[in-house]
Amino acid sequence: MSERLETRVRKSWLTPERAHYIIAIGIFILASVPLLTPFGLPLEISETTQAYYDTVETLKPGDIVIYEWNMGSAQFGEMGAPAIVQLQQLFNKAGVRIIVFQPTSEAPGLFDANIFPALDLKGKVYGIDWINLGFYPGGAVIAALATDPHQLFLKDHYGNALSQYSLWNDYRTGADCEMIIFNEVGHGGSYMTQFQIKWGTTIVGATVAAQYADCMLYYTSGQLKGVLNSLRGGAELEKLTNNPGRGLSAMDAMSTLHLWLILVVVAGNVQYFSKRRREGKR
Amino acid sequence: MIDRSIEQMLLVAGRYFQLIMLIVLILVVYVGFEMAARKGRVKVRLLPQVSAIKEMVERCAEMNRPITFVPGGSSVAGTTGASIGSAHLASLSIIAEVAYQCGLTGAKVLVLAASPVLIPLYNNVLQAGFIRSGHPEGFEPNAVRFSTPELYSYAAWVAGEVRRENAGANMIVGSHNMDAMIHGIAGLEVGAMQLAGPSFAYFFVAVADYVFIGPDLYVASAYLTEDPILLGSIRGMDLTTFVILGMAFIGLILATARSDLLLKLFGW
Amino acid sequence: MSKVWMRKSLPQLIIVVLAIWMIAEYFIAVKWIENVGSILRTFQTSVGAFALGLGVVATVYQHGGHVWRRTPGRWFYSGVLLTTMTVMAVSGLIGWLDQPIFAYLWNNVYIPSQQTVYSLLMFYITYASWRALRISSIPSTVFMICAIIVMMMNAPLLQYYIPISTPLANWLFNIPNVGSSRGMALATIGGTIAVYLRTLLGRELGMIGITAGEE
Repeated sequence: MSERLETRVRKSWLTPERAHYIIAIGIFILASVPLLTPFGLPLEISETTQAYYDTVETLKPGDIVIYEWNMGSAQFGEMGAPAIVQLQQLFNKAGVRIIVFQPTSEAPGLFDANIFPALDLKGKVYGIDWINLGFYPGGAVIAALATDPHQLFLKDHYGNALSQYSLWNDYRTGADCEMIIFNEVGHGGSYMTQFQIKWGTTIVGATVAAQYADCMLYYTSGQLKGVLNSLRGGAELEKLTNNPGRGLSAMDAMSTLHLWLILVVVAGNVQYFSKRRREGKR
Repeated sequence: MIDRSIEQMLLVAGRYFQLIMLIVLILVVYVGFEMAARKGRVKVRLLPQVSAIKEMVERCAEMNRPITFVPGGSSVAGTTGASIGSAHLASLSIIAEVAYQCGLTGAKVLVLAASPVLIPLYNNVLQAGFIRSGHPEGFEPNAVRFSTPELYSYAAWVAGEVRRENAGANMIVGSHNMDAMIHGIAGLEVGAMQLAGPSFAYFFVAVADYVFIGPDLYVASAYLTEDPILLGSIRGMDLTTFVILGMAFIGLILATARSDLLLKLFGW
Repeated sequence: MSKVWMRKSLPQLIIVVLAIWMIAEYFIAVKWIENVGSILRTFQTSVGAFALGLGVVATVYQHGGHVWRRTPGRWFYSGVLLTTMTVMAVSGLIGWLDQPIFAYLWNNVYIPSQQTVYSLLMFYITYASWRALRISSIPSTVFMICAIIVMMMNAPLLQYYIPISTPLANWLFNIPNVGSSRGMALATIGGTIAVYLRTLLGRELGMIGITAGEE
């Protein structure tokens, strides 16, 4: 190939750096415009979200639910809205008692600053209807929560002795727990091992979009009774519980960004084929 | 107290079948060990990911660019990094092999640790690899770097290190969380050859040149040690898979016949 | 005690005894076995807590070293890290979120910066999609088509205007995804059991820093 021809072949307009800028600018515009001016599209409820909602609605007064949030502040943008609507659904259910548990160090701060203030506690009394265990480190905490919680968990997140709370005294082992709601980058496997295998505890939860496919494995086998697919699942649950929030407001941006992603893929293929044709002709 | 309604038996009710299965699977893997011990070296197909390690190290030695090894901060427990999972354990053999190859070729390796608890372990493993290659002087005391245990801060730091060092090869092998995607893209952007897995293999197939999918990492780890017993464990691993597949097949037949015998057995 | 015993045999013994004890605790209904298991779980939680502290020590050591040695290109950022870490730690210890400095840094600096790094995934994945999802071979074409179908399912706009995306994506999730993931999970379980059994039998020495050739 002659030198001039080589230069012409090398000089493609769409270099990787330019592509990076175009992709980034597109994402910025298509994320910010719908957030500022939402256009409100209809939202279809997925089967797993409906199953989640129906399962939680089967809770009866007196049932104890363990609500876990095992993520950091990075995932809060994606999983914060589902957390608020999940907890609100639980607090709306009269007589249901909730043990909130956060195995990551950042989660208690997120809950104190962003999640609990957004909730309507519906008159539930701390210590009787709900408690917040806070953060306990280590991989064995879930096993301890199932087997002998009173040995390890002595104080709640606020530094108060757990033994003074009637809810905690009613929870002696995992057999006393009716349902577990996990929120993690995973499929709640630790709870399946520690609770479900031993006592057949019902498990539902929410996970990030990247792990939703993994959760489907356990949903189809019946080990998970319902799964929320990250922010989208949170938005669907907001619609089901008639409690619109950040999830629903973000759906328009989600639509535009997915559309952009598809366009980028198509553009990448167009560029690939045109480059191949140019090189083929030469 | 495990269960307030428990009978006066030694074994916990509802876990008899699980115990039997555990013993069966342990025996099956042990049979693999014994078969290997009797026959000598077990023949294991060379995985392309394993031969890629040597290729990547040689490429880096030629280009005078370092290899960055990202073992990850997530574990089986996944909370503070205080635990070490099976993928982490298996990745130590890969680190040792990389150190060995770097000793032979003169390439530089950097281990970007996420957990401070594991720094001495990585140092030991690297040093042992260089000693085994006959070039102990190749081991640099600051080869294991650490910045922060926080997951996404670690991801940003790794992306920066990979770019600053202009890595020629990026190995994202171990137990990772979603930050692994950032590691993968950082390597892609500097044009590094990448070996990744087994976490988020579905993403790494798009950005890495070689990917450990599923049990490949455990096979590679046993293969690299060249220990006949460990290679026998690969045979045991395959036998375990056959046992589980056999049970799945029986379950399929029983489910088709609308029998819940296997389900009852699991709860026995 | 000999060096080999201290370095190799003692850690192996501890690992094997504790592992067998925890397995036995799961299956055997004897109170004192369960009590010891409970204590071991508490130990692990304590170790986890100390690991957090160790993280702080290691961070201070690393970054303090860069500041002290004035490592070019790094010392300034290490200084910023140490300063912000100290300010957040001290203010957090004083009043947690009631302390205005901590609350401000938590809500306006820490959380947004963590979410920013996480949001980079969107840019990176879009860029990776541009580069990787190409019709260059049959597997990559199938990969691309499946990715597009799943993207359509996640976007309400596309779900509304392309109704077939939902049943197609559900089929993809429930049939090929579950089948292949289950197969991979089964194979990985075998590998995990093999690794842990190697550890129990004292053959996996990587955990205590001994690798091939060093034994």
